[in-house]
Amino acid sequence: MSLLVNAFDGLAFGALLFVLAVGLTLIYGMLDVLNLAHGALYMAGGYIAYLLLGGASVSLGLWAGAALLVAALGVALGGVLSAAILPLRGRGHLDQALLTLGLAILLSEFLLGVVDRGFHTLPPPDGLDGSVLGSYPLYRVAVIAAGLVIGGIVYWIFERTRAGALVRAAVDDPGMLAAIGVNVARVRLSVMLAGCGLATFAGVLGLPLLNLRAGLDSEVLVLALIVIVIGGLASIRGAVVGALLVGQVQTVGVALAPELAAYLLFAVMAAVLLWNPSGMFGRAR
Amino acid sequence: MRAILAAAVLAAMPFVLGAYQLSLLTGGLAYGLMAASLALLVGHAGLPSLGHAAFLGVGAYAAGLTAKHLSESAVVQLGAAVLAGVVFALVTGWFAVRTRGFFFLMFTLAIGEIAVQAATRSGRVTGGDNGLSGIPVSTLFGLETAMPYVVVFYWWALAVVAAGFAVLAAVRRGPLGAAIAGTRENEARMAAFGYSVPGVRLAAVTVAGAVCAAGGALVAQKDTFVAPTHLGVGVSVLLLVMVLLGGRDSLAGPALAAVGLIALRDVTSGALGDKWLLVEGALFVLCVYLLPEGLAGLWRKRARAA
Repeated sequence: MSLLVNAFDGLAFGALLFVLAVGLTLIYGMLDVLNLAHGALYMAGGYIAYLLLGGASVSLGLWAGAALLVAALGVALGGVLSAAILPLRGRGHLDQALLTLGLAILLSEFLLGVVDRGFHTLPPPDGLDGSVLGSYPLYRVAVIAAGLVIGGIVYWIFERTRAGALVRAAVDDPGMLAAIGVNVARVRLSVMLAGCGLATFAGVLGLPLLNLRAGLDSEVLVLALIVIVIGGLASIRGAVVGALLVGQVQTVGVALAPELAAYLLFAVMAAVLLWNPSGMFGRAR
Repeated sequence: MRAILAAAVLAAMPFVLGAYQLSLLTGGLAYGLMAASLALLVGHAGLPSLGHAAFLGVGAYAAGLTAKHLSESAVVQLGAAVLAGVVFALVTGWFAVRTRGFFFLMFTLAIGEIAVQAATRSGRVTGGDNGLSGIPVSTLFGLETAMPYVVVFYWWALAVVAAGFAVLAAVRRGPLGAAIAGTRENEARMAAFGYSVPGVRLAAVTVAGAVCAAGGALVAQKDTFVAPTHLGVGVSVLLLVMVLLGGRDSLAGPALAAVGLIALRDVTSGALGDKWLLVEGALFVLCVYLLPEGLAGLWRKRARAA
């Protein structure tokens, strides 16, 4: 029974990881930039919502308003990141990744300087702070639902709309897309902005689940990267499968073998890489 | 020739510097060796590792545990650290070298963070979050009874660092170094020549890992303390800053940057505290923008202009 609870926790954690990782994987696919600031964006979302709402339980409406505001801020931060990467065009991919890492350190250290390095959390908003089926926290069910909704929206945009078709085309053959008169730079920018907005939104969503603290940025970044290593770069399906798998390892795995949980994550990643070095749904690039 | 001169000057430092400066320099040299080992991966092999601190930690924990449970001899501890570094490099590298570019970066970052978790969770062996404390001061051939410990330990560290540099330089100049550079430049051609590309890469990771673990042993012996943070992304990034600042195609550049940065960090740590990380981040960003080839690049540019 308790394992079932763990598995459900894993679903909630996986849903949160998916919201974070899907932006990261699409930004890589579109811009050829590994955005190592993604974890810092998540952390920024959490800290800004914490500062806005003052760490107290608030009404669902106020909470949703704050979450939207934070997501908009994430979009703005995405714009700053894009502008910062621009001068490095033509230099190696490594330099761009390293730049985002440097900016991530600046952002997270700035936030830790504004608040402090200690633990902070925010209770779920009113209406979502109860429990279902006796004692299971309702908020975790809500996170799973939010993950499903966001996943559905991303999938629908990606597979069923003209904008999504442009994004897919830009991953496959940006040269051809430009030749038929599409502004590829604009498509790229919009993916970057959307991905960064999702990252800060995930930070708000995860507030009641993961405590704010120093080091949170690299922790979630690494989990998101493991999701992508498992699922494959630039694949939405890969992000779903990877996030669910990592979510289970981090909850059921920890419950079954607390001492081995760290190695278990490595084992899963290594096994997938042996099978296909580009991840489950990855293509060789 | 220049290397011998540098070693001679460094060996004479105990006659010039006070105990505090000497201890700063000892730490700087240890990090210099580790930064140079990372430069072999990043610059020479084209393998951008974001988890190099894992080797520091593996070496430091191996040396610390050996000191506590087996032997107080610094040489034995060094041997244990290098052995642990080689084993860790073979186990993780075997998977890592099958990946390319960003995947390598992500994989190494993940390994570093998993190593932190492993060190934190295995509390009975490693002391968990509190770190491994109570490491006895290591013995150095009995010389420590005759001279101040700081001085003897400095010479010991210098000897280890010099030996590590000799290994790195020999690998770079030798046939293995040529093969490593070949896999960086053109994988397909190296494979056509009959080289095993993963094999050559694994050799590069193993050499860099073993040398870095030796540096980790020095850190454990100097501080008589190891913490899980030694394995973390923060230290990996610090090592990478040293490589970028010094120049990734050079061995001496990263080492010089390391000595400078460690001295700067330790001197300002009282005043800056946690804000040191802001300085580190700013340095990182500035390096990427302004010094694509590091300080060594500036040096070469001037040499070309003259």
